[in-house]
Amino acid sequence: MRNNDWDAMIDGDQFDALIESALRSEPMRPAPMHLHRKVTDRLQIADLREREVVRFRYSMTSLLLALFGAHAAAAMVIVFTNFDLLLANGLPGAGGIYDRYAVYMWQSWSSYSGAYLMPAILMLAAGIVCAALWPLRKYLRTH
Amino acid sequence: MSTKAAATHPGLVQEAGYSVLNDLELVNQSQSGDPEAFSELVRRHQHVIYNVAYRFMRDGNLAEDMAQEAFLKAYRLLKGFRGDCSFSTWMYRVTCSVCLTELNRRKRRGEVELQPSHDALQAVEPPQNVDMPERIRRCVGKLPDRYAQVITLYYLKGISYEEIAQVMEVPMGTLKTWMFRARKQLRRVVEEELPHHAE
Repeated sequence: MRNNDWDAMIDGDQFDALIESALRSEPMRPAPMHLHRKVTDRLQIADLREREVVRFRYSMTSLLLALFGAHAAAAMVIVFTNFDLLLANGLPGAGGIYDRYAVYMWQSWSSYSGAYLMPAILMLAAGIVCAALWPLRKYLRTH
Repeated sequence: MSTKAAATHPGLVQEAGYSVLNDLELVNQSQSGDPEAFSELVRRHQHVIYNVAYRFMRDGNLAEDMAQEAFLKAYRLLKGFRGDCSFSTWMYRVTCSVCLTELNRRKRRGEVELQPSHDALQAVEPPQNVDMPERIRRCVGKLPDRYAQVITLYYLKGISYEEIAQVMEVPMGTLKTWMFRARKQLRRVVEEELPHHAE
């Protein structure tokens, strides 16, 4: 119908019929052919984003733990081995200090407090490495 | 195929295809982390959801965007779907919410399309050249949100009053009152529109 014909109908009860007819006569349109593919693509990206968020969280937590662990290990070394003195007096003595600790440990494990410190530091270092590598292992397992 | 059979024999699901499962079973599969199940839900409901979005947005490209957003929102909220209504009812609710949010956002910002799409080109034509029924349909977008929603869902084919009441989470009496007021207000809006463009 031309617009003039429609305009002629606009009076009284026919107005409501006009509105009703316009709303009821709207056809159902087919969805675009690529709508499904676009939705599934975006869902994959959303899934990937969530996995990346979790992976990032694990990585950052591990790095933070490693950082604190390294600081703690360094503080213990300084406190129990007078490492600051070694640094102040020159590094060449450090190798000798290590030999000294190793000999003390072999001679008398229980009477030398530094004997406990050496394996404790080694265990702490191993733990830090494991904490840093754990998220990587988890990621490689799931992918 | 029942959900129990699908859970105990996942191979059967893959062999038979997701098309044999009903919506609720597909939702359960999706909630368990099966993306293919949700893909099947999208395939089943994409036409209706696109049409709901089109009746709000009145533009093909915008309707497609809103339909995508609705499905994505549904995927994110799927874990909260309790099954107290059908999946289609729940999807209508999500789609209406997405479309109305977008329409309100556009009204607040006064946004217009930079490059009109083919559908929108019809909108920028002089009003007297636009099809009269389409002009009337566009007036629905000028109603308050809940009236626009009621009118849109009512005239969408295949949706009953009961389902609309479930979508809008109101009693039937309230829905009928809204419907009456919506028609009355729509008539006022159309009356204001038509004399202006009939000049």
